[in-house]
Amino acid sequence: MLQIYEDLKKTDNKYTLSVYPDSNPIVNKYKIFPLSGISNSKTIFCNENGYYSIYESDRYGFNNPNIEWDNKDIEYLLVGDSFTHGACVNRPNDLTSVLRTLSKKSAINLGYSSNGPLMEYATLREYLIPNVKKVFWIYYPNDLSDLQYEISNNVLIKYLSDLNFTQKLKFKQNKIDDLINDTIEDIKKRINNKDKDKDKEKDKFNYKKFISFIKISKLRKSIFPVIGNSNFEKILKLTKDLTLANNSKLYFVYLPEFNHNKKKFSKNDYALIKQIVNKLDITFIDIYSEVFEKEENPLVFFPFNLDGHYNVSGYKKIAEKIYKFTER
Amino acid sequence: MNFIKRIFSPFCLTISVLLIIYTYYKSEIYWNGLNNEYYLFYYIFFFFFFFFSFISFFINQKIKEYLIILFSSVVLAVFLFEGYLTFNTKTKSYKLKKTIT
Repeated sequence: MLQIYEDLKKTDNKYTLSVYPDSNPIVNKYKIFPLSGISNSKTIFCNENGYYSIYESDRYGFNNPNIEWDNKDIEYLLVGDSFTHGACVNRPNDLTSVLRTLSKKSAINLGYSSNGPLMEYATLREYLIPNVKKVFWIYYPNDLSDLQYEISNNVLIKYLSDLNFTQKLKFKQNKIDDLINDTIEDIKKRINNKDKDKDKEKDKFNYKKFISFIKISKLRKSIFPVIGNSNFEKILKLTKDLTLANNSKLYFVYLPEFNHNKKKFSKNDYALIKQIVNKLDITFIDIYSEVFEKEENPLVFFPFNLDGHYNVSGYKKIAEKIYKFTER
Repeated sequence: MNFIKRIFSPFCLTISVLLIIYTYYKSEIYWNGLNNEYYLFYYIFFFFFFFFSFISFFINQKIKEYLIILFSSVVLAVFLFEGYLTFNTKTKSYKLKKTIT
């Protein structure tokens, strides 16, 4: 991807890379933890369908046409991880764009790759605007494991412990852009030095692996369930309160993974999530039963029938179902 | 064996106290008390271990010998299995999962 970035950068300086928020150093000279990417840039995202998806980011660094933020009323606002972000398709084939096309109403995408529940809630706290009618929490089954990292992040945890905490990210986009540009430069340096360091690394004693071995981490992980069910419930409850205070209706959309109908998939996690959402009285849109189960071969919704993000037809079907559901 | 028998109880007691302190650190300081539910099992397990260590000071020497054999076998089996999970390349499919973000 770095090669593509450097080649495209020569043709237009507006090209940039999509950097996961958690790739930025938590302690940095700008004293912020960003929840989006570089603003007003041609962002190179990912390649799973045989081409690199590229989008022009909005004023806050999300995957939206910039003018969407000027609309008086916002019908749909989506928050989630890479699936909401639009991996790995171009506009107008991502979830939010399809909703925009179908409804002919405004829709804002606040999804970003690597987001977990706490980062999604933090994003809503920072960027939710008063004129939004429907908020969609797009859930993918790896979100609960992302929560483990998020809770150990000193900045993110403040969103959970202090309801008035804000980083005022909307007003610090210049700092966010600078920080991510620094991170890209660091990544470039690291990749360029990787080959040189490879031989050195071979000789190094792997302390992390040793400590993990002493702590029998792998065995414990395979026995005990994922940390954070109660925190997930707490975050979802806070999200509901936040959207209620904003006069918006909250929907929870459950996206199925590639292994959903295979043995590897944990039905317990699915049941647990559904139970939490129902307990909080949030509308649950189950994409597995509504879309994937009705399809003879649901793997057609994945690139080349392989594990990954959805393809164009996958996102289209899901967006159509969400649209129909909300128009009932 | 006599030396092992002599140090077994103080060793278990020290380890159990250290593990309880470490669990408290992880639960209350590192995670700010946000994962108490997850650490509850560890508290129960290590307090049980502490209790067992205390009892082991007063048990019959023969039973102690059996306990040492049982204890070392369990520890060895656990670390052998952990070694298998750590170093067996076939179990590294979780790394692929991480690409879905």
